[in-house]
Order: sequence, then structure tokens, then C-alpha cells
Amino acid sequence: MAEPYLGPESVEDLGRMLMALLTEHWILRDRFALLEALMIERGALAEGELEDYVPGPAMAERIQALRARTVSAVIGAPLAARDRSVEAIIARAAQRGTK
Amino acid sequence: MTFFTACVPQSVRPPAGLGQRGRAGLELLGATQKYAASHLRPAARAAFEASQAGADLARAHAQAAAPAEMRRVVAETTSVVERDPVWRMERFLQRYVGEESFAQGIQAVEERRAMFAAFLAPPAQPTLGTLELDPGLVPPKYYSATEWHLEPGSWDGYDLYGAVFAFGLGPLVFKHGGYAAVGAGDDILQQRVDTIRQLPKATYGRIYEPGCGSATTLLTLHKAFPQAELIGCDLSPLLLRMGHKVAERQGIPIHLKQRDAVRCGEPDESVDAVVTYALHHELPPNENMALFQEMFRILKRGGDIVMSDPPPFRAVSPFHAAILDWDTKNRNEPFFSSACLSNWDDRLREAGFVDVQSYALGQDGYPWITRASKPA
Repeated sequence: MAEPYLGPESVEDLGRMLMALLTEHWILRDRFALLEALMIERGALAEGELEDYVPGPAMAERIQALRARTVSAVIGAPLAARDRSVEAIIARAAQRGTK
Repeated sequence: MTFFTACVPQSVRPPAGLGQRGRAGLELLGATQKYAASHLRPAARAAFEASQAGADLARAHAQAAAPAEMRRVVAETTSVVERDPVWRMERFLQRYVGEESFAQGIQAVEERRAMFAAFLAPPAQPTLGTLELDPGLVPPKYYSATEWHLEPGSWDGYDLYGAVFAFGLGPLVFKHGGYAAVGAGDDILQQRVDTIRQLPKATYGRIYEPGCGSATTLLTLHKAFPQAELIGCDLSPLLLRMGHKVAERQGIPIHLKQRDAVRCGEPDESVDAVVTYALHHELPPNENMALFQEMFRILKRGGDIVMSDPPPFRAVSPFHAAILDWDTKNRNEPFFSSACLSNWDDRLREAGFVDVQSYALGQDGYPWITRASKPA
């Protein structure tokens, strides 16, 4: 890995980025809540249907792949920084899947 | 600022309001501030008060007689609490919310500029009360030198600030309390009502508010004293326009003037009561003294003054004094600490007032009430 770029003086900036991320996350979460409510109101979804939904095998597999990809991208970021060869990049993308 | 009195008229239907992004973003800031003030701050306070340094400073605080001594105690308290990461995180979040409220609020209103501009558009002629603006008024240097409360461009810096406060910051952020001297969970509208209740008489003919901003206190005064003539002054034309507009929408006649409160231009002995709300910590000490003398001049004999402001350091714990002191440098409140070190009781007596009393109405000394009368 290259020399560390962020030192203790970057903590403040990271704090602000984290708060901005929290805001973006919340805006999205809020929007989902509204979407769900509107869908229920218009009969496209029943009350509690989303909460009770049990994915079938195909959907479960898709969700698992999505989850693994997200975890790998976030928690694996430090490792990704340490091996930036073309091979490693392609291997990581293949592991995560394209969706 | 006018928080909950948006009073959207039929002429701007569909109802004026923020979009989803603006609303949700500001609500998140309100929730963050509420959590930080009601969870992180008490944790930092408990840690400080359980420490040996906290106990020593509590003793020093109780014994501090002169302002210089109190200033030293507050500075030392600050250096102790700043070692606590929980304090630092809570203060970081205060600053973050203080800044981002305006950044997100302005963006949220700007997204719907046409709608909010229509909402704020003044009528051709005021139909109730009066609005006297003075474009030639030169504000005092202390006023122009600061971006008060981290507000970009200060009070008149964005033409749609009225909408930012009425639809955004007021109902979504400030409503929860937990900023500056306002405690977590405090009802800031009820605090105004409670302040007005400190006026000792049942009726007043003419009530004056220096530094009235967008007239929230005057409108609250109308509910308590519906027969009183209400007059206010402020340096900000934007706030005065917003206040007059909201008053008209509510059918309340008020008389607003763009004036420097220390030279308000009202005749001698022309008002029965003066009320101030969150004003004195925004004036330098010498301007406050000039204000007390000016209000004494315009009050009739036997008239009453009620002031509501953050508490003096001597009336709160050293931990809370450090909380208040922080606003001076970190929320663009250059005179906050000098106000908290002042003794308004003595200053009012020097101006000629009698029957001076001061006391707290709520948690951590806020609102701090000082009231007095002009000799009959």
C-alpha cells in the first residue's frame, strides 16, 4: 500500500463524511418508507406483506449475492487497497458478481 | 425567527412545503441534535461531575465572585471536559447540525424557489398594522461583522430565509431543543408564552419589543394581551417583512420599524411594557446598557420590563457554563459569554429601574428571566 494519506488531522473530515453518509442513507430509508406506504394505499401491496415476505430460493440466492457483494466492498476496502493488480481487481469483481 | 406560523394561504395551493429530500435531511439533523443533547451530553456531564476535577471546579464556581474569576473557572472546566471524547463528539455534532441546517435548508427551499417566493411575496400595501423600513439605516459595526448563528450571509443573507426557518429549521430542527441554551426537549414556543406570563399586570395598552426579529414574541403577546398595541423594531428588513406578513395572515395588527433599538425613536414615556426575547446575548455590554437606558426612557412611569435570555454563568453548573461558553466561538455568538458574565440586575438598577428580580423558568437556567419596573 502507498504511504498513509490520512492522519489524526483527517478525523474531523471523516466525521463530516460519515454524517453526510448518514443523511443520504436516511433520505433513502425515508423514501422507501413512503413508497411502501403509497403502495399499500393503492393496493399494490398488503399491510405487512413486505415484513412477512419470505424470498423463494431464486430470490434468496440473489439477495445473498447482493449482501456478500456489499459486505465485501465495504469491509474488504482495506484489502483492496493493498492489492491493486489487474488480476486481483478482476478476481474481486468476479467474486462479488455483476449485480 | 417565525417557526410554526407559516400560515399558508389558499393563493399558493398546492400547500407550500419542502420536498422529500429536504424534509428528510432536516429531520435527520433534528434527530441527531436531539440525541446528542439528550444522551451524549448527560453522559459527558456525569463523567465530569464524578471526577475530582469536576468536584474542585464546582467549589471554585460556587465561590467565584468577580467576572474574571468566573471566566477562569469556565475556561478550566472547558479544558477538563475537552479531554472527554464523548464531550468532543457531542460538540462536533452541535457544530455539524448548526452548519448543515442552513446548508440543507437553503437547498431545500431553493429547489422550490417559485413556490416559496410566492409565499413570501409582500402585499402591495400592508393591510394591517404598519411596516416602516429604512434602506438608509447604517447598522452598528458589531451587527455587520458577524454571520450570526453560522447563518450564511447573516439575517439578510438569503432572500428566502423566512421560508427556511418557517418550513425547515423551526419545525424540523429547533423544535426538539438541545442547542445553545435551549435544553433537549424544551418547547421553544411554550417558553415564549411562559416569558410573557412574567409581565405582572393583567392588561397593557402599548407593548414594545426591541430586536423583535420576525415578530414571534409580538404575535405571542397578542394572544395574552389581545387589546394591546404592539410595536417592535429590528435591524433586519428581511425579518421585519416576514414578521409583518405572518401577522397579517393571522389577522393581527403589529407595527414594525427598522431601527437600532438603542435609538428606537419612540417618544418618551410612550409604552406600558417592554419585552425582550433572546436579545441581550447578541449585543456588546455597552450596547446593552444603552438599550436599558433607552427602554427606561420610553417606558411610562410604573411600566414594566421583562427580559428573557440565556442564564448567567453563576446560575448554572460549571459544566453547563462550559456548554454556554462554547457558543461564543463555535456558533458565531461573539457576545454570548460576556452576557453570561454580566449582571443585568445591577445594570437595570443603574438605568433607574426598581423591583428588579431574576430567576429561571426551566432546566439549566433557561429561559432566564429578569424583570423590573420604572418607578411610578
